[in-house]
Amino acid sequence: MPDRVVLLISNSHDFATDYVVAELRARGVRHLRLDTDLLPEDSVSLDPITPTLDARTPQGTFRLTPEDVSGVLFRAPTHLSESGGERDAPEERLRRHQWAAFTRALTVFEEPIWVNHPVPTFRAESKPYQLRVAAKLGWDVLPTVVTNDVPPAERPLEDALLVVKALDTFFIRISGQDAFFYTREVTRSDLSRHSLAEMPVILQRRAADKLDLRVTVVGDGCLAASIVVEDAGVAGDWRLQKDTVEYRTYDLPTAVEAKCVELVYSLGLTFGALDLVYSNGRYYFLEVNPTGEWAWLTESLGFPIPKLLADALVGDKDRRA
Amino acid sequence: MSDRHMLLRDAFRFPVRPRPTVDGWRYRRDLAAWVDEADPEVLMVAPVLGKPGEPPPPRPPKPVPMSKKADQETGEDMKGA
Repeated sequence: MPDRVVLLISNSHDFATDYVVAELRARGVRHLRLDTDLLPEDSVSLDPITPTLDARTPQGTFRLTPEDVSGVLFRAPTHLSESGGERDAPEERLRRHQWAAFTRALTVFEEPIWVNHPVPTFRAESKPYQLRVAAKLGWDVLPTVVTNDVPPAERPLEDALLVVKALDTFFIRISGQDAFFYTREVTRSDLSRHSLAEMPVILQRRAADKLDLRVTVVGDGCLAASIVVEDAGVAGDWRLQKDTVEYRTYDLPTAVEAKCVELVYSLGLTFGALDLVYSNGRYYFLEVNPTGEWAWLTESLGFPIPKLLADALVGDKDRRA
Repeated sequence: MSDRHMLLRDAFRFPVRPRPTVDGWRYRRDLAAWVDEADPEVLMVAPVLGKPGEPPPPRPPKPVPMSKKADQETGEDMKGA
C-alpha cells in the first residue's frame, strides 16, 4: 500500500527516535511523531471503534486508520514510576498518566507492526519473567533469588559472591539528589535482614571474570558489542565507568545470535536490548530491555539500528504480519 | 521510608539535572527533528556520548550525526520517562 505512515510515539527529548526520524526522512517515508511531552499543544482524537486517529500537529493534519499505518515505534513507558520532585506533583502526575493511557489506547491499531507493542513490553519488563523464559529456551542463567531476606547458603544460591539488583529499575529524588541503583557486587556477609526487609531485591550469583556484552536485536537482525577497559572485562556495573570503557563490535557465535533472536521473539517483541556476560567459556543471559537505549551504539560503533528499525516499521521485515 | 534498605543506602547519587538542552539547537515540531538554529536545514541527530552541560563537539559542515543532548545518566530504559 503506497504512502503508508509510520507512527512514532515518543517524547521530544528521546534521541533514539531522532535517529529513526532521520532514517525515515531519508527514505521519504511519511511519519507522524507524537511526543507525549508536547501533546497538550496538539489536537488528537481517537475513535476506538472504527478505529480512527485524527491528529493535528505542526507536522500536519492526519486521519489514520490501521490500514494507513505500516508500523508504530513505541518509545514510551509502559508503566510510570514516581521519581519525586516536581514531576510528581499531583497535577503533573495525572497529566502523564492520562497521556500514557492515551498512547496505550492506540493499541486499537492492531494491524501495524509495533516496535514494541506495550502489552508484551509490560510483561517482558519483569526481570524474573525474562529469566524464566530464557531458562526455558536453554540459556545459561545465573542462579537468582528474588527476596526481602538473606537467603540460606544453599541451592539455588549457595554462593558467597553475589550481586544485588533492583527488582524494578527506579530513578528517584533523595535529599535533593537524583538516585539510581546500579548492580552492586556484595558478599553474603554484606547482607542482613535489616538491610533487605523493607522491599524485595534480586540476588544473583556473581559471574567470574566476566565480559559484558550488549546485544541489540531488531527482528532477525542481531548486533553485538562488548564493553571493555584496557582490553579486559569490567568488574562490577560497567555503567559506573562510562568515561573509561570502550565499546567494541563483538562477533557472537551464530548459535548464540540465533538464541538472542529467539528470546526476543518468544517475549513477543520485535526489539530487545540484551545484556549478556561471557564468563568461564559460557554466555549467560542477564536481562533484556524492551525499551533499551541503543543510540550510543549507533554513535560509537555505527550500528545500523535506525535502518533495521525503519525496515521493520515500513513492513520490509515484518515477520509477525 | 528509611534509608536503611540497600536500594536506598547504596543508590548512586548525583546532582539533579535539568532536562538537557544545548544552545544553538532547536526542536522543530513540523519536522519532528532537532535543527541547528543557525542553519535550519541542518538536522541534528541524537546525543548519547555527550555529557550534561558540555557544549556539543565542533559542527561538521554537513548534517551528519553529532551530539545534541546529554546522555541519560544511567543509560537505562525508558521506564518512568
